[in-house]
Amino acid sequence: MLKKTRGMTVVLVLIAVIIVGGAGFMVGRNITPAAAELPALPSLHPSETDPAVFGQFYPRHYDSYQRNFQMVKEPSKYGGSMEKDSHLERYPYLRTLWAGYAFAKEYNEDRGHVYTNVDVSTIQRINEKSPATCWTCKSGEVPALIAKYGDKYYQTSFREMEKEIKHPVSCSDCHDPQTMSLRLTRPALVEGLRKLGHDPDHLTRQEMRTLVCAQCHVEYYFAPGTGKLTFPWDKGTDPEQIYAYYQGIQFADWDHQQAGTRSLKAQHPEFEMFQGSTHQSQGVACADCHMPYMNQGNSKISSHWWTSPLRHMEQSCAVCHRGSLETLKSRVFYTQDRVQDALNRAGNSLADAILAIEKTAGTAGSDAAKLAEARGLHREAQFYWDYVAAENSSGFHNSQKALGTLAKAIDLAHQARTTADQARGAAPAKTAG
Amino acid sequence: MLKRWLFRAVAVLGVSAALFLAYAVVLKLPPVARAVNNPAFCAGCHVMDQQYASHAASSHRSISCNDCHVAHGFLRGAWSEAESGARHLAIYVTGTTPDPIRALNVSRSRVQENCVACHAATVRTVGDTHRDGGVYCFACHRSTPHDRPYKR
Repeated sequence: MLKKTRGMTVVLVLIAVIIVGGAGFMVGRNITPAAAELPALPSLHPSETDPAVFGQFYPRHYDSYQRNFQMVKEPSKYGGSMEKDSHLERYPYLRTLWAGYAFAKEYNEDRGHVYTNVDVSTIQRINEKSPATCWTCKSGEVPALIAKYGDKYYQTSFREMEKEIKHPVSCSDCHDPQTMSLRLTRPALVEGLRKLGHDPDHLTRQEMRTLVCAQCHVEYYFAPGTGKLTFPWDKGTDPEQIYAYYQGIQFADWDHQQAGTRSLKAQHPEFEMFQGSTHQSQGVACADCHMPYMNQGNSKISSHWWTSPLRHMEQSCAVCHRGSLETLKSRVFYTQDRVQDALNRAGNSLADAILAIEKTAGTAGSDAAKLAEARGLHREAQFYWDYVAAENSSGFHNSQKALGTLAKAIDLAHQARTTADQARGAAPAKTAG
Repeated sequence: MLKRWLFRAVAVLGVSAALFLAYAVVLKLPPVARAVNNPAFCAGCHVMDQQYASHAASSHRSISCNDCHVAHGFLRGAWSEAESGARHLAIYVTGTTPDPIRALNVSRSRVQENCVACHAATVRTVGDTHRDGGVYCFACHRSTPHDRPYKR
């Protein structure tokens, strides 16, 4: 009996030893892959703005940043990165739409981020009266200058501030030089986010991968009085909401020379256009397409060559959308061709409306109330046209919003023209239909 | 009296731990490991046919379903295999297979962890894209190891 129990115990202990020993062996086995962390890089000086200094520690990112110097149109159909490629020559109606405004002097297709400081200081739109505010998105020195001068920054002259500008858009505009994490350096966006109900101190990484771009790729205005750079997002980011906001504060960028309309100029509202799009609603960030992860040797980096994703469709599109790149590209042009056509129709309708309003204004005895109404319609129509025209994607960022906005622009432009014609008795008053 | 209960509790815990260890070891025995890590084992339920077929033609065909869908590590792996296995068995027995089949959040995190574990060298600059509210690797690389499930 005793012997049997002892035998059982020995067997049980043996099994236990096998199990525990085997388990210990498996746990002890180093199955975690070799740590592939980056070597700890030194943190840069908190006020570092020179891209070349960042480049010493992040040579592969810096290489991709250098590609921003490339100037090519292909394969883009409507955009591209070109030097002094005049929109005014390509779309003749623009001079009519911006009569009396600086945009009628010079307006070009833009080129890479590395040219921002050069291009802003050589364009004819800048004159001795231009404020330093125009530097805000053109140089890495700006956050420090805003901190240094406070509200006086916005009242200093452009040429005066130029002495303190050294670099174009730089690494430090989006990255903390000490930790390299993403950060917001432009006060207008921080305030704009609060207007939209976001907490600027609690943003996810995926949100930041859009918002660092939204520091600049947005509609803005200079607040009357202070000249402070402000985003008109109090009512939202849709064209109708921004227009309603401008109506509320009776803001105008300039008085239209031919039509006498208190007119608005929209500025590259890429962020606003993107809101509500197919890609945005699925959580895609600007950086997902414009800064895709690219293989560099045996590792990946986020591309810092800000350009049309058509230049690197394999990384930007094909990662999610399998299938032929030619088919994908043809889908992009399918959208852009239609938006561009509607945009030109809206632009030409607006030019017609402007000529009708000008004619009415010069006709003695025309109906002043109707003329004012026509100008109001012109103001709204042109803002909607510009929301799409100034946006740099020919509708691809949000084709539905682009076409819907242009539909309103075309309709309002026709109403403006008809109303102006009626005001001088050149068209029958609208009958109930 | 209290002593006896304490003894029983320790015994139950000890026996459970021993059983779990035994189960974890058994999972690693070559014949067992070969069987459960064979994608054909997962495709034993025909709802996995499409994933099985597309995985077999993918760049990840040389690794098994479990390499991505089960946590790495001896004990965590055994635990996640038991957890998934028990859930799949329950769904199979009750005939409540969802259509389309979608990954649970726990499964998504597990797969993400495994993407980053194997591709650590590739993503050493980029980091884990899912940190701080970022996106999963497979938000974009959604057809890489196998196709997305059928949608009827």
